[in-house]
Amino acid sequence: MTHPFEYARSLSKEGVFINFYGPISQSVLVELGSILKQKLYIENASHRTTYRVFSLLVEQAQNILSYIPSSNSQPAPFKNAIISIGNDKNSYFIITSNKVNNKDIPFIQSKLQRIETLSNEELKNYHRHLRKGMMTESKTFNELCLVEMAKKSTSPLEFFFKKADADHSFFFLKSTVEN
Amino acid sequence: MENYLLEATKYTPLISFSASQNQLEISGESYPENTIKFFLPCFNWLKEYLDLVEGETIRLKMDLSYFNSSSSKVFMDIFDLLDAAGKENEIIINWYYDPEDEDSLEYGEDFKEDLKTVMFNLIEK
Repeated sequence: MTHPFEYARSLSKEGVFINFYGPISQSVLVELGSILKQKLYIENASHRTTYRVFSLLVEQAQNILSYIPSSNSQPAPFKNAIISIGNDKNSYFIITSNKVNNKDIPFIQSKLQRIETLSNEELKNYHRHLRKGMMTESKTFNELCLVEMAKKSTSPLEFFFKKADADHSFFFLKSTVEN
Repeated sequence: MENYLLEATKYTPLISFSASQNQLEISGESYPENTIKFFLPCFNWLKEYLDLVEGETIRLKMDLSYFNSSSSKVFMDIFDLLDAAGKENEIIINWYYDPEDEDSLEYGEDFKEDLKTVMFNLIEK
C-alpha cells in the first residue's frame, strides 16, 4: 500500500487541495462545501468563482447521491464516491467518480453527449425546458443537474467510464471554473 | 388557515408563509438532499392557500444566496402556481440578487420571462 503521505503528495502535485474517498452523504457534502468556501475566501477568489466552484461541487455530489441504479441491482448500504477539488494555473477543477450500473451508461452517456453539442444559449433554453412542468421523476432532476453543471463549467464537461466488474463501471466527471 | 414556518439550516432555506398577511418568503441557501420531499409540504400549503384567496395582494420575497438546480425547478413550480392565481389576485415576486453574482440575476431574468400575470421585480441587494 502506498504510504498516505506519498498519496497526499501525489495529489498535491496534481493541484488537488481537497480529496474525499469513501461513503458520501449530504452532511459530508455540506462540510466539504464549507471548507471549500473558506479556502477560496483565503485565496481571494472572486465571488463569482467561489459561487461556481461551490455550485459544481453540490451538483456533482448530489448527482451521485441521487443516483438510483436501474433494476436488478441490490441497494448498496453506502454510496462510495471520490471527490477531488484542485487548481492549476488559471482554473479550479472538480472531479467526481462513482460506480454505476453498466445498464445505465447509455442513458448517462447520451445525455452528456447531447449537452456537449449545445451552445450556451441552447443550454439555457434546454435548462428552462426541463424546469417547466410539474415535479416529475428523478431522471428529470438528474438531467437538470447535468445541464446546470455544463452551464457553470467554463470548459466542456469531461467524462469517461472505466470497467469495474461485469456489471459495473466507474463514472468520472470533471468540470472546470476559470478564475 | 395556519401559517407555515420552517427555520433555515445550513442547506435548507427559511420558509415563512403567512396566510393572514399574504406575505411569503423563501430565503437562505437551498440544496436539500431530497428537494421534492423537502418542498412538498410548503407546496401543498401554497396550493390550499391560493384556493382560498381572491382579490388580495400577495407578496413573495425570494432572497437566496445559493440554490441548486433541483431547487430551481421547484421554484418554477411555485411561481407557476402563483402565476395561475394572478388572474384573481395581484401577485408580486421580489427576487433579490447579489450584484456580484451574475448567475442569480440571470436566473431571475429567466423566471421573469416565463411568467405572465405576476409582477416580478429584480432587486439588487
